[in-house]
Amino acid sequence: MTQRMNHLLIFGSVAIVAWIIGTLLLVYFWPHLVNGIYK
Amino acid sequence: MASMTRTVLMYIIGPIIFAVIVFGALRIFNPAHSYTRTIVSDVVQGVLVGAGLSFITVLLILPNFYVTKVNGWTTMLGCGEPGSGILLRAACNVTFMGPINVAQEAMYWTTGNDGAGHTLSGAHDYRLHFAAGQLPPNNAFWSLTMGDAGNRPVPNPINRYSVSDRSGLVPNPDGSVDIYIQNTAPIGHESNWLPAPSGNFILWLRVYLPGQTVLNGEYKVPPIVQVS
Repeated sequence: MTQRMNHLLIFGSVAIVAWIIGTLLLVYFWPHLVNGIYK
Repeated sequence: MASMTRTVLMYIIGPIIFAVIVFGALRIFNPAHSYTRTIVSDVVQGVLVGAGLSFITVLLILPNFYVTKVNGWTTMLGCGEPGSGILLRAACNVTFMGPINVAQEAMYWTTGNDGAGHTLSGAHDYRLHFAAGQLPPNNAFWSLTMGDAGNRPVPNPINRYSVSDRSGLVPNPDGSVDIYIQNTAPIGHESNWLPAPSGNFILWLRVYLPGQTVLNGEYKVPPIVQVS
């Protein structure tokens, strides 16, 4: 595996994990954030 | 409410997404980057791209699974109800930012487009036609509110920012009601005029203590029709 592929693999894996975790966090916390603004 | 979504998307999320796309493109398509990469840069850029995709997923994609669009009007059922689910809760807060009532208390529709899908603009005159007996069914009241592109009230010579069942709307001879949505006063129909700004605008329809046909989804808000 080339060095470039290694970097691409790390980048891609992290991006996908961050995407999943970020989506879950945003789904949970977005209503709290938005409603907090209007309190 | 919706304007805040637009503001967030336009000024915060938009630039992030743009940066992420440029970042990702450089990362993938520029071979020279392979030789200057470190694991730290891989991880940092991966997190940024993942975060950008998360915003796209939640703010742009998720609501589409829950909203109901009829005649150009967007609404959502089930908001605020206990046990409606974490995804629906998030979708409601993206579409209708801020606290909202359960459907039995109030229903909300919003649109920035006419029935043909064109952006509402003060450059045109529009009409909202309620057939006889087809005003929003309710046990309290309804209102149609005007907002400019930023969802702010629109200054106008008659200080009218919304029309409602208490605005003294004059019905047509056949019992139907036309609401004139335009920048300049409609001659002879001033009582049914909802002043619009010269630029783009959005509309909110609110129905409090909505009738059963609203709650079961049978009632369809008529489309905004461009007349000139």
